Amino acid sequence: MKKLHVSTTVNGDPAEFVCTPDESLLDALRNRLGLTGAKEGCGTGDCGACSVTVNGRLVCSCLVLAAEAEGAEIATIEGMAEQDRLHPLQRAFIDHAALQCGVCTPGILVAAKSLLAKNPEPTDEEVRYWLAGNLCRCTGYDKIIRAVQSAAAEMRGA
Amino acid sequence: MAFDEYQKREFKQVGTRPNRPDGVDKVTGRAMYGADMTLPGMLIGRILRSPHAHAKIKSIDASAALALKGVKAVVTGDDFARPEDDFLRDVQENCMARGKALYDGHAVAAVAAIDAATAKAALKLIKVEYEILPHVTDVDAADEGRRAHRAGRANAGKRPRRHVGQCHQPLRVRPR
Repeated sequence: MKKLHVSTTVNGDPAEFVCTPDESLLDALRNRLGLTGAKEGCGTGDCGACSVTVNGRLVCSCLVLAAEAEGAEIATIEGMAEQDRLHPLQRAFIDHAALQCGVCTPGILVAAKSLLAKNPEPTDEEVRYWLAGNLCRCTGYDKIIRAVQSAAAEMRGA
Repeated sequence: MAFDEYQKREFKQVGTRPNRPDGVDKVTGRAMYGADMTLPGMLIGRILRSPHAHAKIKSIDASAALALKGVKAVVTGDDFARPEDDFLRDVQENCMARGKALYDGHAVAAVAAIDAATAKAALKLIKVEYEILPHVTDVDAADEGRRAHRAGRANAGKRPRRHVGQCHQPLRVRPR
């Protein structure tokens, strides 16, 4: 299959890769660019482990074609911390023990960040609805909600 | 000492809330899981699964798949040695069907190829001839039916029974 050349921006930096026309953005991020933070849980858009944002919009990268990244701004979990400084959400997840195996964690963090960008003061219910597309099989949604709320409060104060 | 005389004691570790040592790696996406590893020359595996809940596998022809450029190996149940032990044989057949597919999704063959697209294409070239057998969908039918696995005497792995007291006698309820 003839490959496509894609020029895009990933976490603020220009990035280029070649991909097949049927390749998912998730596969391109993981296999072409080496950004393995986004995980493939289901490959069908049910689990949210592959969540990234494309031009600020939260998507399941397994359902987006890699070719669609042309000219777009992609943000992944790898771009959330600034050098050694963790994002308040990342710190809150560690402080609240809101992760266990960590496979769903990158997707949940990306999704939560996107929620707080739209709604800096969500109710617990709004957090639960927003994160309903992110499955965690270690259990612990409660700690995740608390971590998001604690980070939200910190970010409002900052 | 009675239970309510419990004295609070200080421990070095017990009762503390340490942050998990792998926390930073996991929240930054840096943590490496099996699926995140790549090595030079690494092959990608894909599995062909039975579309039938219960079927005899009459034949598997993998020659076309093996002939596809980029395919390095195809394995089926016949490629595995037979463990002597009944239980281990059962475990093996659960990993990959041998002669019979025991459930919808049972692995029937596996392919190793240079990339995922090639492995996927190879799966489509494997010809499996099935003879569909009747299947059951509930516990009662499974209990009466023919055994699904070769190991073991019946479909029920265990029948634990426990008799305590005389529950068959009417209860005597004491009026208050």
